[in-house]
Amino acid sequence: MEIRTRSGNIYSYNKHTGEILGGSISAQLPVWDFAPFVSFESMPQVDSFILGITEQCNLRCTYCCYSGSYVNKRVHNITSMDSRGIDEILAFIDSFTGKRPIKLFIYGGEPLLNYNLVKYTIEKSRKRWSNDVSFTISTNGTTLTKERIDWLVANNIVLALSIDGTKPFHDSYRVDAQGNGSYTRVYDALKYIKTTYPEYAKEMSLIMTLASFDKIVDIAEAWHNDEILHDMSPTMMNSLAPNFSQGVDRADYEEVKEFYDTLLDTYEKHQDWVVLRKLLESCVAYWKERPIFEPSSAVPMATCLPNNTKLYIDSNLQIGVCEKMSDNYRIGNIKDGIDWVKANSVVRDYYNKRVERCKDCSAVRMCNMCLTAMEYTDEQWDILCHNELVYTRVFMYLFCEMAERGLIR
Amino acid sequence: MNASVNNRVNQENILAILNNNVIKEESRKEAMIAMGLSSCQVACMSYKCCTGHGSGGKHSRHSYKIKH
Repeated sequence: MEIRTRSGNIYSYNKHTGEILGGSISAQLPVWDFAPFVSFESMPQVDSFILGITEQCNLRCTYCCYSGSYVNKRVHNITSMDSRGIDEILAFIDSFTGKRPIKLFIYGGEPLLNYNLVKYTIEKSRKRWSNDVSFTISTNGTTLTKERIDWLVANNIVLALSIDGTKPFHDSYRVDAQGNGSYTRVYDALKYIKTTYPEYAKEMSLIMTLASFDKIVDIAEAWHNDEILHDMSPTMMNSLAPNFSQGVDRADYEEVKEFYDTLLDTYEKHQDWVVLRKLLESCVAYWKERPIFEPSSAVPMATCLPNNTKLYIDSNLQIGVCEKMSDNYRIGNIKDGIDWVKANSVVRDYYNKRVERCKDCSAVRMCNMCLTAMEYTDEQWDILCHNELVYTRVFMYLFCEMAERGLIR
Repeated sequence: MNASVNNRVNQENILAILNNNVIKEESRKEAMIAMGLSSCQVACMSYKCCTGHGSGGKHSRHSYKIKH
């Protein structure tokens, strides 16, 4: 993989050593050596459990993966856990892992629609594990009353709050069933938290989903000019999952590079715009954090299983690898535990799909394809692989360009 | 590695920034190899995108590499 920065310097990436070199690599690099698949019967690293408390939501965000426009994804419905289910889950967790502290992530749907059950879960968990358990709630923020916020803060519950920019941007996507925007309620809650509990606010996660990148500079500027938001960086910025039912385009390197070039120029002039900073840092994180050394032997295929640290438990008490995995790929349930045959089968199928496809790929160490891709056809994989390579190369360019401009922190 | 590099330019300082995360400890190498030597897992854990708070945007396929 090779890129040329604006100053004309050429950089190459060697997938075997992980190094970026000055100039071109003229020799043909050998294929990547995958170790054979090894079956497993445990997940020793798991300490985190994501509880899909309810599948109901009071919003109908236009891009939602549960909107019905995605294949293999459930749609909003009234299925929820109950207190008996929570008791069973906590007992399952106790039997499944001895790791401490346990991390519980309360998820949905919109979990705070079932506020009493959320409180029950927290109180029962504290009773069972005392201080050896922590909690994070993913919420759209629309039902965060002052009373609820006071309780959550007092009980040291971390909030992961969805906010897609300032009002016009957020309300373009995050709407209720009648099409009314949700921003005012979210912002009011955030304002109360920040002014009443400034230290707590620093520990919150702000999740920004970018359904479109067309307005990213406008979003960044408006965020910067907002009295509450300006010094609160989004914790995570997401783009949307590919939706093949609506078509997925093949990315063009020059076109994508040009977009990020323009973005970088803007950032260079406005380095205090936290949204742009977070976005660009996210783009180059893979490159910045990549481990640089050459393996001396064959390498296992990178999959979350069996080294996963988390499991997802849905509202029907079925167990998934993660909350992003298609509903068709559950690997057990609370009553019977993990179905190891099924779990191994998913990973083996994934291994077989990748082992030939990836051995010659220059991005094999930089790829973020994961088990969630199991639902796609070979033709869809071709597009995903192409796009993965394009973005990996663009972000290598961005990394090198930022380094040359003194923008890597 | 049997690869030669040509067209070298004076980029030493930049290359030091670009190659900042050289792993020397054998135990760390082994741990990373066991995970498939994937930079996504390393970045993911550093930035706490999914293993860290477990509940990243539910709308993304995988929560890290952002695509416009």
